[in-house]
Amino acid sequence: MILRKIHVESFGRLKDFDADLTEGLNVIMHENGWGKSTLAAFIRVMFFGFDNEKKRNEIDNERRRFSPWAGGGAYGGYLIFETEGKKYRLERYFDKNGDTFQLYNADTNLISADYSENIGEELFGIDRNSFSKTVFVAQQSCRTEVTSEISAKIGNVSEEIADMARFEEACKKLQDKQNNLSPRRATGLIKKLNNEVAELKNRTRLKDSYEKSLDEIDKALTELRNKTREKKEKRELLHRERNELSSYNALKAEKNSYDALVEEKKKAEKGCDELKKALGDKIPELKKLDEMISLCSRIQEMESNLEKDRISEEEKAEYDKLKILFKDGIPGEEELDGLKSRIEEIQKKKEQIAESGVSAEEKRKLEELELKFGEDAVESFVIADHINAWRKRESILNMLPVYRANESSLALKLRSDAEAKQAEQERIQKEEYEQKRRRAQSIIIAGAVCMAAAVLLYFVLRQWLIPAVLLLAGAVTLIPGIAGRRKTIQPSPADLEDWEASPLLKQARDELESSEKKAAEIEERIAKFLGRFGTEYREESVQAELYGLQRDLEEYKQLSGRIGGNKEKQAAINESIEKLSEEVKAFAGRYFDETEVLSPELYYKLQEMAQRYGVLKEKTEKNRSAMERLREEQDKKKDFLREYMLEDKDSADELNPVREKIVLYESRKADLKEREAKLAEYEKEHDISKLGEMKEPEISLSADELTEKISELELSMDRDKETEEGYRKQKEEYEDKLEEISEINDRIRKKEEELEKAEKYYDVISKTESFLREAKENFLKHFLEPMQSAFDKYYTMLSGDTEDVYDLDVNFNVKKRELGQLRDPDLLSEGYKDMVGLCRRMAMIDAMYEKEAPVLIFDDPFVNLDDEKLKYGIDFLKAVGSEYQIIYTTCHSSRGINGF
Amino acid sequence: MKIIHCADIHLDSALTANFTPEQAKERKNELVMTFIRMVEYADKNQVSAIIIAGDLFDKKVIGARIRNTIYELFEKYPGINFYYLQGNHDTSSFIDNMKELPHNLFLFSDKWTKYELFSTGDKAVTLSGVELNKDNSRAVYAELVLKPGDCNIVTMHGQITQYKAKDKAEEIDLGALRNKNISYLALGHIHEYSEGVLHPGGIYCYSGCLEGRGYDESGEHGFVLLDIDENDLQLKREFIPFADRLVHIINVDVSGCDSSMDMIDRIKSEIEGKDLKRDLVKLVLCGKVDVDCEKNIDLISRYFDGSFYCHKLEDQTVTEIDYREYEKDMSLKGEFVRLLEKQTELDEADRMAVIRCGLQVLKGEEIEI
Repeated sequence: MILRKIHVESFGRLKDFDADLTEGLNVIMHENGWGKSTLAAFIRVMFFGFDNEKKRNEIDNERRRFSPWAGGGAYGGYLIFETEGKKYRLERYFDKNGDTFQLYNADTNLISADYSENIGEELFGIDRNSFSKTVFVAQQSCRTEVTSEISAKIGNVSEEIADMARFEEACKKLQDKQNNLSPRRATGLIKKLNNEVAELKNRTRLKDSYEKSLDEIDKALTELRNKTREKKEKRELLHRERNELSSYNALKAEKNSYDALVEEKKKAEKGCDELKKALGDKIPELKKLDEMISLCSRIQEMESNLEKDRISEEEKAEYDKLKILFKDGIPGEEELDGLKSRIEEIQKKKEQIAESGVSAEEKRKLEELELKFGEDAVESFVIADHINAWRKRESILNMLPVYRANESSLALKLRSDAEAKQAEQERIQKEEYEQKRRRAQSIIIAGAVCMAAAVLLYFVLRQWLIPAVLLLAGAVTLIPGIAGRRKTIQPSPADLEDWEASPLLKQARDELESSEKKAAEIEERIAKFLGRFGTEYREESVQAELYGLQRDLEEYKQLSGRIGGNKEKQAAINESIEKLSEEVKAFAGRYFDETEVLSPELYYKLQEMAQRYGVLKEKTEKNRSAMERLREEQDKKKDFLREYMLEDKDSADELNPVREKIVLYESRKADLKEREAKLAEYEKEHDISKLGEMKEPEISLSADELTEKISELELSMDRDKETEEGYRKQKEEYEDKLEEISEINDRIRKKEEELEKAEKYYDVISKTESFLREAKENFLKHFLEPMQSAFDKYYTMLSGDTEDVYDLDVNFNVKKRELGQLRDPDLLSEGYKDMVGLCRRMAMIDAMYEKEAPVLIFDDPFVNLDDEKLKYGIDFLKAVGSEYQIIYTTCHSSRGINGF
Repeated sequence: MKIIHCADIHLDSALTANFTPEQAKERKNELVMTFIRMVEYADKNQVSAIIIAGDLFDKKVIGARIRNTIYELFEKYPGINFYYLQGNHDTSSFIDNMKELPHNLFLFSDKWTKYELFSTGDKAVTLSGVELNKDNSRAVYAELVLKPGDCNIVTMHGQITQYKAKDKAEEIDLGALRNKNISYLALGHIHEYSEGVLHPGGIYCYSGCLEGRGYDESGEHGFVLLDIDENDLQLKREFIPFADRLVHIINVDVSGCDSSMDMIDRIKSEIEGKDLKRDLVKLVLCGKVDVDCEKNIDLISRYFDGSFYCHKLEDQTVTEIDYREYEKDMSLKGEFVRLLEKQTELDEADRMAVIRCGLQVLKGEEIEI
C-alpha cells in the first residue's frame, strides 16, 4: 500500500495541514511541539478510529486528546492511498453528534464500498493494537510485543486469522473444561464422581459379610428344613399308624356294633317265634281281644248283677199273690191319699167323740168361736183358698203400674204418630189448593184480556166479527176459570187418626182393665168372706185377718171336737164317720177283708203292698231283660273264642294273660322290625365285607402313646418353626441390606459409567489442549527461522554488529545470548532496547506482509541512539525505505536525513 | 395335551439402567402383568402345564407384594401345574419364604427330578429337570436316563455349548444330551427365541424372555406352546409372541450428514410409517461423518422425546477426515491436524475425538465429541 496524500482538516494542534507523499522514505522534520506524533496518530486514527473511547483521562482518551486546539475546521481529514492498483480517498470526521466515515475512489470521486469503516483491519489484517505493535512506531515506543493477531498474521498466509487468533481462547476453553472435569480439583466432576463412587462403594463394603451371613442362615434353614421334613415324615408315619390303629379300632367297633345288631335281631326273632308258637296260628287283633275282655267283664258283671238281683221263691210267691191282688190295677197316689185322709178323718172324729172333758177357758173360747163358725160352718181349705186369692191380688196390684205405664207410653206414641200424619196431610192439601187457585186466576186473566181486546177492536174496527170471536173466546176462557176458582175450596183441617182404636192399645187397656177388675173382684170376695165372720174389710189387715180366721177355725174344731158339743153335733160326727167309713170300705174292700178295712194301718199296708208290688214287678222285668242281654253277650263271646280257638278261656282273667302275650308279641314284632331296619341301614351304610377282612395292625404302641409321640413331635416342630422364624427375620434383614447394596451398586454402575465418560472426555480435552499447544509451537517454529534471519539482518543494519547474539523463541520473544545465558532485552540500555524492538518489528512485518507491504510510520524512533548508532539508523531507514513506504518524523536535524 | 415353555421372566428386575424411576416401576408391573396374562392364556387354551425354565425372578431379594401375587396366581389356577426350575438369577427367597408350597407347584433340585405329565398305555409324557451348579454341572449328563418311545421333555437353565462344559453352572453341554431320547429340551437363560436340532429326532429350544427389559433385548418375545397328540405323543411347537411392548434397534446411516438437523431428518425418514409409540427404541447412528460435521447427540436425542415409550440414542458413527485437505493448510488448524495425523499410536476413535475437539475449539464452537 502506498499513502499518497495526507490532509488534516483539524486534528489536535494540526490544522489544515497537507502532505503529499512518495514511495519509499518520507521525512517530516519539525521542531518539538509541531505535531509530528499527532500526525502519526492522525494516520492511525484514519485507519482504525479512536482508541480508549471510554476512558475519561484525556491522555488516554484519544478523541479528547486530539480534538482541535484551534477553533474552526472540521475535526478530521482524509488520506489518499493506493492499494492493489486502486486509488482511494479515506475521509473521517469526528463530531459529538456522530462520526462520519467515507471512502471514495480517488480517480472517480465515487463512493467506494471496497472497505468498511473497519478499513484498518481489512487492509492490514491486524487490529489497532497489532498495528501499533508493528507498522506504527510511536515516539519512545520502539519495543513491541507479539499479539495473537500478530502471530496469526505472521503465520497465516491465507490471511485468515481466526484459528490462531482463537488459540488462547480455545486453550482457555479447554482448560476450563479440564478444570470442570478435573480429577484433582475438589470441584472437578471426575474428582466428585470418584468421591461419590468411593463413598457408595464404602457403603457396599459389608456385602460379602451379609452374603456370608445369608449363606450361613440358608444353611441353617436348610438344615432346619431337613430336620422338619424328617420330623414331618416321622409325624406322618405316626399319624398313619394312629390312623391305622384308629381305623382298626373303628372297624372293630363297627364289627361289634354289627354283631350286636345281628344278635339283637336273632334274639327278637326268637322271642317272636316263641310267642307266636304259644299264641297259635290265629292271633286275635289286640283291639278285638280288648273288646272281648271287656265283654267278658261285662258278662261277669251282668251275671253278678243277675245273681244279686235274683228273685227269690218267696218274692215270686209274693209277686204272684200281689199280682192277683192288684189284677185290676194298683191304687193311685190320689186314691191312697184320699184313703189316708178319710181314715185319719175317721180317726180324728172318733177322737173328738172320745174326748169329752174341757176347761172353762176352753169352753169360753169354744163359745166365742161357736159364734163365729157355729152357724156358718166353714172348712179350713176355704180359708186357705181366700188366703191364696189375697196373695194373687197382691201380685196383680204389683203388676198394675207396669200395665199402666205400658198403656200410657203406647198411647203417647200412637198419638204423636197420628198428629204427625195429620200435619203432613194438611200440608199436601194446602199445596194442592194453592196450585188450583193460581191456575184458575190465570184463566180468568186470559179471558178478561180477550174480552177487553174484543171491546177495543170493536171500537177500533167498527166491525163485529173478530171482536165477537174474541169475546166468545174470552167468555169461553173466563167461565171455566171462575167456575174453577169457586170450586177451589179452602182445605179444612185434616182429621186426627183414631189412634185409640189401635189393637195394641186396646190389648194393653184390656189387660189393665182385666187386672184391675180381677183385683176388685178378689177384694169384693174377701170383703164378703170376712163380712161372714163380722170382720170389717181393711186392706192393710186382710192378710192377718185371714190367717187369724184359719187359726181360730183350727182351735174351734179342736175345742168343739173335745167338748162334743151337743148330741147333734156328735151325731153329725158319727154320720160323717159313717160316711167316711163307707167310702173307705168301698175302696179298701177291693183288697182286704172287711174286718181289716177300717184299721188305721190299712192305708200303710195298702201303700206298702202297692209299693212292694211295684218293686217286685220292676225287679222281675229287669231280671228278665238282663237275662236276655246276658245271653246275647255270651253268644258273642262264644263266637269269638271259637274263632280264635280260645274255648278254654272263659273270663277276662283268663283272657288277660293271652292279651299280655299278644301285647308282648306285638311289641317283640315291632322290636324285631326295628332291629331288622337298623341292621339293614347299618349294612347299607357300612361296607360289611370289610369287617370280615379286617386284620389287627402290627403296631407296638397304643393310640394314646402314638398321640403323645405326635404331640411331642409337634411341640418340637413348633420350636423349630420359632427358630426358623427367627432365622427368617434375620434373613429378611440381611436381604434388605443386600437389596439396598444392590441399589447402591446400580448407582455405582451409573456413576462409573458417568465417570468413564467424564474421564474419556477429560482425556480427549487434555490431549486436545496438549496437541493444540504442540501444533502452535510447530506452526510458529515453521516461521521462526526466516524471522530470525530478518531480525539478524535488520539488527546488523541498525547496529553495525555482525555477530548474531539475539535469539527469537517461538513466541517471537527476543533474548540476548550473553555468557551462555539468554537474557531479557529489558536489561539492555534504552538505545539497544529500541534497536531490538525496531528490528523485531521489522522481522515481524517482513513475515506478516509477504505480498503488499503497508506504510511504516516511524515517529522519531532514534531518540535514544548515540551518534554512531544514529548513523546506522539513518542508513537503516534508507534501506528499509527501498522496500517499504516510510513516513519518518523527527524534530531534530541531527536525526534528519540528507536529501529528504 | 398342551404345555407352555417359558423362561427368563425376571420379575422384580430393577430396570433402572434404561428407564426413569417412574418407567422402571411401570415396566416392573408390566413384567408381572405379562406373566399373569400368559397364565390366563394357558387357562383359556386348556394348557395343563407351564414349564418355567429358570429365572422367574431377577434377584435374591423379592418384594413381598410380587411374591404374594405369584403365589396367589399359582393358587388361582389349580388346574394348571407349574414346573419351576430355578435359574442363576433365581437364588431367591421365593420358595424359602413359602410356608407351604401350592399343590400345583412342582420344583426341581440339583439332581434329576422327573414328573410324568401324561400317560397312555405304556407310553408317557415326562418332564425331567435339573438345576445346575458348579458341583453337578459335569455329572448330570451321565445320570439322565429316559425311556425311548416316551415323549421326554427336559428342562435346564444355562448357555448351551457344543463342547464339554468346564464346571460352569451356566453352561449346558449340548453334545452330552444327544442320544438321550430327549424329545424337547426346554431351555432358559438366553433371552431371545432360538431353536436347533438335538440328535436324534429331538430339538432344543430357548423360549426367550416374555418381555424385553432393555435395549439389548430387541425383537419378538413370548413363549413356546407345545401341543402333544395324546394318541401318538407327537409334539408340535409354536412360538407365541406375547410381549406387551417391543424393543427395536434402529440403525440410521447418517453418512454425509453435516449437521444435527440433517441427522434428525435421516432418523425421521427411517422411522416414518412405523408405529413405535408404545415401544422401546434404540436409535443407533452409524455410517461415516466428516470430522468437521456439527453433531449434537443430546439435541438429536431430545428431539425424539415423546416419540416412543422410551428411547436411547447411540452414536456409532465413524469420524472421517481427509488429511490431504490439511496438507497445505498453513494455519494452526492445519498444523494441528497434521500433528494428529502422525499420532498413529493413538486409538483411531480417540484420535478422531481429539481432532474434532481441537477443530471445534479453534472454530469457537462448543465442544461436542
